[in-house]
Amino acid sequence: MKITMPDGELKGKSVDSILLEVLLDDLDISMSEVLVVRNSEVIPEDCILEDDDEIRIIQVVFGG
Amino acid sequence: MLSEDELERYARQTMLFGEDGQEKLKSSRVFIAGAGGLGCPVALYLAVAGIGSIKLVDKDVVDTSNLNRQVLHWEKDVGKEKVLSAEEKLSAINSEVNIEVVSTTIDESNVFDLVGDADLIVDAMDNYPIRYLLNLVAHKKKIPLFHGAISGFNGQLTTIIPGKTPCMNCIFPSPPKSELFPVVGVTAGIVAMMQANEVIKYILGIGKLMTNKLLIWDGLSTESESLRISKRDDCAVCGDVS
Repeated sequence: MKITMPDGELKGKSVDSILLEVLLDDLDISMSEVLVVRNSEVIPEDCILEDDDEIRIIQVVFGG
Repeated sequence: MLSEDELERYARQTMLFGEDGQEKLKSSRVFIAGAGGLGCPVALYLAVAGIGSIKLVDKDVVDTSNLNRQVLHWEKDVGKEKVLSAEEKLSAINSEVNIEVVSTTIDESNVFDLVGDADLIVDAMDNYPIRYLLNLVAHKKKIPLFHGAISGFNGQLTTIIPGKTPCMNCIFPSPPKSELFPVVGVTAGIVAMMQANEVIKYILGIGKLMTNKLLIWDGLSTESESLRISKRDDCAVCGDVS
């Protein structure tokens, strides 16, 4: 799986399939701080990811 | 009915959407939560566009560190309540607009009454707990919520229509930490202008709204992208709104 981190760093990870919230936990990222995007769609934490997925992790902004 | 002065003032707009459109703006009541980086430019541009009634709520006083982005607050206003500072400028730039301000903290006990009979809510807040309250009230009153948020050179925006789009709780099911955030004034201006543009389109019933999509603004690459967003079936706020 190809992962683009919030700072733009590219990471690779081999998985059979993995729950998004487990992946974020592995990456030590809090789900509340980010949006995860696959194919231009924001996906929920209970989404199952496959090895050929490409995802991008975006920082949620909160200021106003 | 538009006065002669109003016809002259809004001549470049009535060229676009006619006197009927201008009347729609004039008869609209807009609630803006926050008189800071987003709230100032949103209120300013909605006032000059001729929104009939603007209600602005914020609890803070103007601080020198606000002046890089909160364009309704000037050096002379440091120490003054933000809503009073904003009211002064908004009334000066368009005396035809009814400006109502409340200096208070929006919370669970007052949010429903504060929003009152507004036609829509603009989210110009700096924290998610209050955004969730605005989202809840928008759904109870079945009025739209125009969300915007900023940090650094980045911003995000979506327009929430109860019953038709995902809500704040669907998109952001748990709140990120609220802390002091870095920001350049232009980021606030850019996102606020898109929020104000959404409000005007909604009132006029023209164009396509930023619904069912989250716009992500990256000021460092001068790029934006629209991400598809979905409702959560089990959403406690909008799951049963149709």
